[in-house]
Amino acid sequence: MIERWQARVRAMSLLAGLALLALALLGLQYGASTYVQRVAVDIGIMIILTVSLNLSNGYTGVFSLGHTGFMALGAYGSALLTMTPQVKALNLPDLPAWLAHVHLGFLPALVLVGLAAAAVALAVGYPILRLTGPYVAVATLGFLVIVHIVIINAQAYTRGARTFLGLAPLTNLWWVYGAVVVTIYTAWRIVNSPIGRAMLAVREDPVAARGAGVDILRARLWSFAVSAFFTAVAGALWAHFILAFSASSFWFAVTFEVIVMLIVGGLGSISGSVAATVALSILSEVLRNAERGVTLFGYHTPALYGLSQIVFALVFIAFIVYRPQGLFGDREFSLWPILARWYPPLREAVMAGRQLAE
Amino acid sequence: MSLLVVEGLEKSFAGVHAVAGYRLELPEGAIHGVIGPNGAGKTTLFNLISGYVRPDAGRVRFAGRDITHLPAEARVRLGLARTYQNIRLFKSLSVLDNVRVAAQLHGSAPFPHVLLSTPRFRASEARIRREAEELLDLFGLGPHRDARAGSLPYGLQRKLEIARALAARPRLLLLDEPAAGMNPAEAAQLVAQIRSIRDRFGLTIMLVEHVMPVVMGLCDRIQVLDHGEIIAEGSPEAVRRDPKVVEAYLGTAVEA
Ligand SMILES: Nc1ncnc2c1ncn2[C@@H]1O[C@H](COP(=O)(O)OP(=O)(O)O)[C@@H](O)[C@H]1O
Ligand SMILES: [Mg+2]
Repeated sequence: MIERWQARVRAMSLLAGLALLALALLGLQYGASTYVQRVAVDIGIMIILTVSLNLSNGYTGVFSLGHTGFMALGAYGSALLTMTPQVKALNLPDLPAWLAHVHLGFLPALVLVGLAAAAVALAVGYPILRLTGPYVAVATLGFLVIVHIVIINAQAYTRGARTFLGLAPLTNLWWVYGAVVVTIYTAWRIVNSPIGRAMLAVREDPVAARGAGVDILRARLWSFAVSAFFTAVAGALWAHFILAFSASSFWFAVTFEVIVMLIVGGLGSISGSVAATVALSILSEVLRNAERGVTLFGYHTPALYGLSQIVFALVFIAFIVYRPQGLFGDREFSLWPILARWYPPLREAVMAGRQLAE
Repeated sequence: MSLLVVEGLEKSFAGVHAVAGYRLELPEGAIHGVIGPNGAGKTTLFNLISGYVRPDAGRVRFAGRDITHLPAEARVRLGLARTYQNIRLFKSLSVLDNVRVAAQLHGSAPFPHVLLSTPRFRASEARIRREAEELLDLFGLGPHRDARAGSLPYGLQRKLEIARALAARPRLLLLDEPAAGMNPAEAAQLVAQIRSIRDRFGLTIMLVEHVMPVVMGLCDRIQVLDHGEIIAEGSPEAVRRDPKVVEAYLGTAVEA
């Protein structure tokens, strides 16, 4: 009884949340400057990266440092799939014929690069996900290095180390936040299912997980592949937003940034990932503006280039030292306790329901 | 008919025989005890039977099937579950989730159903939850279902481990020192509980134990290991009086 009621409230708050998001996006689209819109797009992409990384690093304990490789795959892959044959002829004259003539829409390109990344994750994960702890981190880092070298050498497809150009600006607020919703929804469904419980069990104690019938490699591959899928989608969205990038765009800087957001939010908390990404993105945006020097209360601060990265790193260190579990630990933000505090009849109803159930 | 048949089982670690020439025919429904001094090879024997350690030689047959080369997770699926000498719970997961991980072994909905939260998914989740909660209630863990497993007092953690093993619906349950760290009253309660789950679930049980009242009170037959070898075997009464056993290990503990 109470459960059905709770489910209905949950469904309603989900719809309300989506409506609110749509309103916010409309507001951003018609009432905000291009600058604010670009920040919002950037935040959305970072949310996808952080939430998907959380599936493997947070929930399954497979601490990957190589996800930026999947992001690169998404970026270059979707560019090659969506660019017109004319643009390709101009920018990538050495493409093989079959690829030179491919010209897909954005949605099929996003899905295809996601699937390709998942397939690569399965192939790469099959040998390396047998490793544990720091060895996994190092092996996945090796994967990132390999991707980097492949990008630099596959000149015909990637223009090597030179800047890759010629993409259409397909990414907008709606694509990004549509993908954010799908990512969070998928992660949420997985985490609250047998697959998610198997992932958590593997993280907590692989020996006991086997003893409960969990196939460890299978659980790790699941989380690695799903998170690679969404990471590649984020890479594709980013590519069609930034429009010019190179091999060095997919290197340690972005790897570090996502891991900081993940750890500050809390390994194993989706809402933590979202909250930390929003907060840290805004913080680093403010600091990036301050780098050029600002006038505050009549004082003019000198230009301090690199300030944002330094503060970012300091925040990270402070969290590791003082709050290693991150903002949310492995808990989720929930409306129930807050609603119950502000509206006592609800609390009583929930308590009564619990007693009935027992 | 014998549920478990072990022949010529051998395992050495760096030249040390942890288990040597071990054999067993375990009839269905029995409660079988394995005792012996520390380092005798009891845990290694359990690791061999449950599939965590590969034997150097020998065969293990379970329910008429040769499982010698099956990995641990596959043996669990066939109905061979265990607990661990050093408790191994999923510490930061809830008590309920610890049991659900094992209860989901028998039928969970495929991925598309998970993604769309179809009626089939919700029915299987309800089944898993119901089974898990029944087991928690059986062990008096119901009120703790939302607590983190690692926050439970020691005795309840031992019980939760047994509940989790039972959620896998085993035919054979291996208990590695289930009474370790318990006081005499708790141990006595455990004896009653083990007997009652054996009857209720139609289990066959094999247990390693140092607490003599537990071993003597529960087991139909006992094997005594020393340096990996079986040095005595028989009913609790016979083993208790065996001079070799008294000399090798039990000493005053038997009288206690
Ligand atoms: N993984 C291992 N590697 C090396 N030696 C081991 C390992 N497991 C057990 N041993 C050794 O095997 C012997 C038997 O240990 P164990 O089976 O734990 O005994 P018990 O459970 O009877 O106390 C001991 O000498 C122990 O040191
Ligand atoms: Mg032992």
